[in-house]
Amino acid sequence: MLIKLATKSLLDRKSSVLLSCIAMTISIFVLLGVEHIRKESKESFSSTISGADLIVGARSGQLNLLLYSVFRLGAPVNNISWRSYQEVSSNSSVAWTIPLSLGDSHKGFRVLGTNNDYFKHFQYGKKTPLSFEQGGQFKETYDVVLGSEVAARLNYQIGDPIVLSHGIGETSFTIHDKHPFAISGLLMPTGTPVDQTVHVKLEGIEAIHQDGKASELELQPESITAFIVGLKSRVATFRLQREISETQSEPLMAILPGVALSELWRMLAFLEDTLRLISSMVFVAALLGLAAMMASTIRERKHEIHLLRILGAPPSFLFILFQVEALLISITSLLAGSALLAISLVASQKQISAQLGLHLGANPFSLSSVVIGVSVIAATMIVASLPALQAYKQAKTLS
Amino acid sequence: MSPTNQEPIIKLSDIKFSYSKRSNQHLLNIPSWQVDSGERVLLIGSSGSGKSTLLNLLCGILSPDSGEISVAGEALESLPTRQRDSFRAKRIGYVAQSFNLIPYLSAIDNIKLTNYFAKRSNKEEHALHIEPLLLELNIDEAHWQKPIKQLSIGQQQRVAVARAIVNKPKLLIADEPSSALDYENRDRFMDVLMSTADAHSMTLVFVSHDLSLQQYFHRVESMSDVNIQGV
Ligand SMILES: Nc1ncnc2c1ncn2[C@@H]1O[C@H](COP(=O)(O)OP(=O)(O)O)[C@@H](O)[C@H]1O
Ligand SMILES: [Mg+2]
Repeated sequence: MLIKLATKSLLDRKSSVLLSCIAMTISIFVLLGVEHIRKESKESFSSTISGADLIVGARSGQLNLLLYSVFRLGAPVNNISWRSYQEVSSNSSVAWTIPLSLGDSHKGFRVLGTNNDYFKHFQYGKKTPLSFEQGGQFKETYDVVLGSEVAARLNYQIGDPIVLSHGIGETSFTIHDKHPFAISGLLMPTGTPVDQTVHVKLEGIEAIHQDGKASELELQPESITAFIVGLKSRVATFRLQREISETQSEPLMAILPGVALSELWRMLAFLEDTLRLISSMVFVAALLGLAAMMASTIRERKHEIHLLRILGAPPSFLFILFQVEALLISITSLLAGSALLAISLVASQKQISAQLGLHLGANPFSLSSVVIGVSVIAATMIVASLPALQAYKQAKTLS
Repeated sequence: MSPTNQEPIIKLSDIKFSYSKRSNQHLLNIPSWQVDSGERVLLIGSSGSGKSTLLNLLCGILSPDSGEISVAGEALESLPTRQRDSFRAKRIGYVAQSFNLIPYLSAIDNIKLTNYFAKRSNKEEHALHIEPLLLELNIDEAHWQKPIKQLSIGQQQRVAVARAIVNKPKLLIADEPSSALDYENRDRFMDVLMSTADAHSMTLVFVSHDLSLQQYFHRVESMSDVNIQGV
């Protein structure tokens, strides 16, 4: 009966209730959205690379190296010599290495020069290796392996010829269409920047740069951008890191991906807190709006309150009625806000993953969203107790 | 018809009441007043003379600053507030100026709400069955589920009476229920009210400023005689 009375009473005041609901829905959408994107982007970043012990590149900031070599974000770093790469690879504590050569693009997608060790050793998520949807790894010099997103967006099939250019613009000035690159493999989706990457053999990269005039033998690369190192034993990590940074021949740097990521989180913590604060304040403003709306109706509901008293309602019934009305609005908004978030995530997932390389899950329900939901309800009860108390007093004194 | 001679159903003694607890000028100062069981009393008073306030005191919604009110054998001031609220739900039927129905609920729901506060289910024999009651008061079945605000004035009157008597109260209180009605509607409403009160042998206290209603009542009292305003 109480719920029925509250529901019908709210429906009787549709327009003001609807406005409050919309304000609450938007604020809950922002609250859940900020939390979701924060959590998912962290997770997405953390799961982009796993199983790698060190990333080695030219000396710069550790974040810059990580962002550029793994996430394909930020400013390019200097190249390092092929000889340095070979020296580290042959170190006795190293189990495997993956060379990375960046700087070129194909129709807006990054081109990564590497070798077959990439498909053997690269891991993402929870130590998941890459797998092929069709075809397989490089066999010929001009073989190309596409990330799932590239294949899907450019509609490429196995065996299709493909033109690669020098530079990273969408349309490059020097387009070399002499190189007969062909697609040899398509990767399964990973939800990481791998999906947006065109993989080519290191020799293929050289061929692009040498304008196709070189013979096969001269395609040995002289430099690469960075390489990923897997160790036989983790114990060797810091020793090798030190050895690499002390290399005399050129300024090298070895970073631990986890450490670099936590530096990133530290830098973003302030931004995160600011976003959280803003979204909480938006919510509090909506909640106060709700309370003000309810308080302002007490005057026009005087009659109704008196009647309920005559029927035998104790003043506490009015307190509860007002609380239930506020909770109904809040719960409705919570459901609407979550639905809105889920819909907008599904709608924008592709865009975000293509533009930022962030893979955001579309399911906004998680432990932290439950925590937010419970806080929303608790906050509603606290704030709504003000108009509810007014209703209680009105019921008690009829004045 | 004459009032039965029993213990009075309403008994007031030395009642003092004012809304503002600071002034010692009392809005109501009633040395003694009573209504016998089965009586129909018309209480006449001008607007602002404290009629509604007196009824709120009789219902136990407001409490007097001093004095004693006993209704149907219960001394109201001795009841804890909770019990006073459920006593009101069970024992007092109330019809007010605007018929006091929740406008957004249907006739059935308005009546069920009354049962809800009386903490009775309508299956219990103490309460009247809702459907026969609505039929008894000539309320068409087509209107039972419609929100009250969609009913005509005449239909609202009858639902209000049905709601007031569903818990078979001993005492029926009416606060100027006819004042918003035209003559034809007023007479029809008074007939319904009187026949219902008779059929269920209820005591009726009716307040109004309209002396022309006196033909329906056993006793007519003036507010100015009951209430000696003063310090
Ligand atoms: N809730 C209230 N708080 C303060 N003053 C009130 C309240 N209700 C009524 N009054 C005042 O008490 C007086 C009597 O009111 P009321 O009992 O409604 O008179 P009536 O029903 O005879 O018109 C009026 O002067 C009115 O302004
Ligand atoms: Mg009045």
